[in-house]
Amino acid sequence: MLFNSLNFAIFLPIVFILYWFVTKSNLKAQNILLLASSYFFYACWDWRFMFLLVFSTILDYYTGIKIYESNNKKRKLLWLWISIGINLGFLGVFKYYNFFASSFADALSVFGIKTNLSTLQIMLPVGISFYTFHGLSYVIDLYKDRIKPERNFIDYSLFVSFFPLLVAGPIERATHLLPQIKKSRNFDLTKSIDGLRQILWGLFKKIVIADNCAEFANEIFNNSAHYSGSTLLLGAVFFTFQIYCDFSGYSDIALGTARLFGIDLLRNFAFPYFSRDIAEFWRRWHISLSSWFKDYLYIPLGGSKGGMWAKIRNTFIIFIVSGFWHGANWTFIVWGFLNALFIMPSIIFNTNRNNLNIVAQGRYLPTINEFFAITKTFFLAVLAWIFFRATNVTHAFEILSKIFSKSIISAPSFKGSANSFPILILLVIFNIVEWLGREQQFAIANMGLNWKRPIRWAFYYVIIFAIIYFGGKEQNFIYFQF
Amino acid sequence: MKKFLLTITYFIIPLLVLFLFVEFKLRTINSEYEKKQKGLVEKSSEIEILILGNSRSDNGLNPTFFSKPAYNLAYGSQTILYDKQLVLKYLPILKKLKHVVLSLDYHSLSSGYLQERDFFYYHYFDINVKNKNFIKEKLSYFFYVYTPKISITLLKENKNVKMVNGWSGHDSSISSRLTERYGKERAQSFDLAINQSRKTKEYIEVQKEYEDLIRFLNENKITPIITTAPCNKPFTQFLDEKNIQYNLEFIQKMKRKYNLVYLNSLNDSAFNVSDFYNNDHLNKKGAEKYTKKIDSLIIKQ
Repeated sequence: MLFNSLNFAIFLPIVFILYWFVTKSNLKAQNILLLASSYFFYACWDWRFMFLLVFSTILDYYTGIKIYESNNKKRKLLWLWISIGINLGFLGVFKYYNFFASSFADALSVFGIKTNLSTLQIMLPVGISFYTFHGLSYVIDLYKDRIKPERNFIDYSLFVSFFPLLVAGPIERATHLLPQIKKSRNFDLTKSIDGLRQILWGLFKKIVIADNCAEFANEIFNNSAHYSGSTLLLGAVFFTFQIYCDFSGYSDIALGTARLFGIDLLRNFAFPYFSRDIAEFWRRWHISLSSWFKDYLYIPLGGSKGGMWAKIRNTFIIFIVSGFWHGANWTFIVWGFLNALFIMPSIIFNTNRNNLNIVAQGRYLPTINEFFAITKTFFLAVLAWIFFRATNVTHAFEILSKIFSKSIISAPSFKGSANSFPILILLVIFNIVEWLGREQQFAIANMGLNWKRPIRWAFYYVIIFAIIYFGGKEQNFIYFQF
Repeated sequence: MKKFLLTITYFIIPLLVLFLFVEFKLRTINSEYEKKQKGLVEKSSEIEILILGNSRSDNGLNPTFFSKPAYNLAYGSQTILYDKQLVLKYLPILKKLKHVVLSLDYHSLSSGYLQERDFFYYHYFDINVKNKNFIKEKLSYFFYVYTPKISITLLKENKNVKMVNGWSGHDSSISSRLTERYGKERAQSFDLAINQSRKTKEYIEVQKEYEDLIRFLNENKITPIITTAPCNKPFTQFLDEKNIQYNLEFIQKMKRKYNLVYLNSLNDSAFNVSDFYNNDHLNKKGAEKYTKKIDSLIIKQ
């Protein structure tokens, strides 16, 4: 069930009404309802993978209790590794088996050894990377004595499977979500209306911006051999907005939906394209994953302790692993490596925490320096996204070689370019709205709150008409494949 | 909670009213399918030549230039599967029918079911090729029969096309669409569709249906006239010779088995650029030439 589908538009109000009217003020009933709805939501994709989700939940629930109850440190560690091993084992089989098999065969063929390693026709269970990371953070936190185990199986299952975050995050932490699941929740008018606004903005980002940019980005990337450097650069810019609006749009809908049920999820995006350097970009892009890797990989590896070389090594490791998390393809690994490379100057010169505040806070416009810093960071992000979007590494380099050729000095032209003008105008308007709302949780969080109701509603109607007008076939979200 | 529900209700009411209005307008819009169907029933007692097939026949065959009463029931993207159903449905009322013109264009053998147009055949002709229930479509034309974008365009234009014997045609040419660039793009899109279709079961089914229809017409003493419509050189030069040959072999096979007439005008030099509306469709001037050619074949018969 897609967030941008009619099925979800029917599903959500039904769950909402049952939640606040039928199970009202009964926390246990509310949690059972949310869990049942979440399983139904997941089963709509493919009910067979429900077993995997339930198994993974039982595994972490049980090993979590075992870790906590073991007096012996070795035994604690054993239970931890059982959980990590099985979780990563599933991820490895479903997500990475074909990649390792074909890469291994390719590597052997370099030495003239022919192997007959067959790849498997495996379907990737939707959301596996996300719910596996939920479970891992839970057992690691237990092992590190940061939390106590959750004894209520329903509550724990809901922590793993809460439908707004189940298939594409945000990647939650037990310390943040479990206390909310265990606390009684009362209807909050402001929170609910805020949630609806966030859902609306998320749908706008996905349907109006991402899906339309996708049309042009796909045409340009799929036929890159026929296009000039300037067109390819424009294609990369379209993809840059596509992936941002697709994923952050999804996160907005997830956060907004959770708010309707009185639950606050972790923020996942904070206007990353207004970042002044790559370090700031990574504090604002897919925040729940970046912080996960920081807490469960970078810091255990030693973090910034142990001198400059250790810091550089650890930075490269988390970026490459993060790239690999996205998918079993060398393009994602190079994308991660490239981001590590881009962040290196701020690591080496210790400037990675220079831009912790919001750009041009309290001002309408950035300074000239800020403007150039934002432009530079955006351009670096665009270059890296080329690897993320390309079919393979060679394809990405072909695109880059054209972008850095003379053909960059030509007017971009591609099939359907005549129809791209309205989308370019929409992109400009979208960026203005995002800029104006950059100090909020999401761009239109505060926009129009002081306007008179007819004007405010007219603004929302315009957004709804745009969503309906530009909405064609229900398009999948990019991050579902991860 | 009460305030929340009231606010949501007040907010939704204008949207709902607008939606109902748009739905009503879309359901009463001028439809070419409807005009063709009504015209066919009206003229059924006199029709001797029935034109079926896709947009090339829809645009390229003007019934008024046939020497016998003719009717154009071809339509954009209409495939042989729908042609067959139309013949089966309307043959009982077409008492004088002698000839049926069928398309065998470059892509005809690879064109099967029309997901997005199925509903129109169901709604206007009572033909349901896939036995679908069309619940979604019946619920909302705005979302499921058309897309919101198309709906808005339709409501803005609401064209009332004048049709004579099921034909309207195009007056002139779109010069920008007669270029090699568009010709190449169009040929490539057909090749892509053909290659994809060849991997499906539907590909075999289309040929079987084609033969079934020819056999059925023969059994009812109706002569099938198979036509390959003329196209502009900037388009034809990019067509894959293998696909053209495949179609020719198919038609030769049909010719050996059944009584039929075939006219291949794909590269007919009698047609020049001024006869085309775009690279693969004739305009009114070209339609007159093309119709007369087919008519002379029928007269010879």
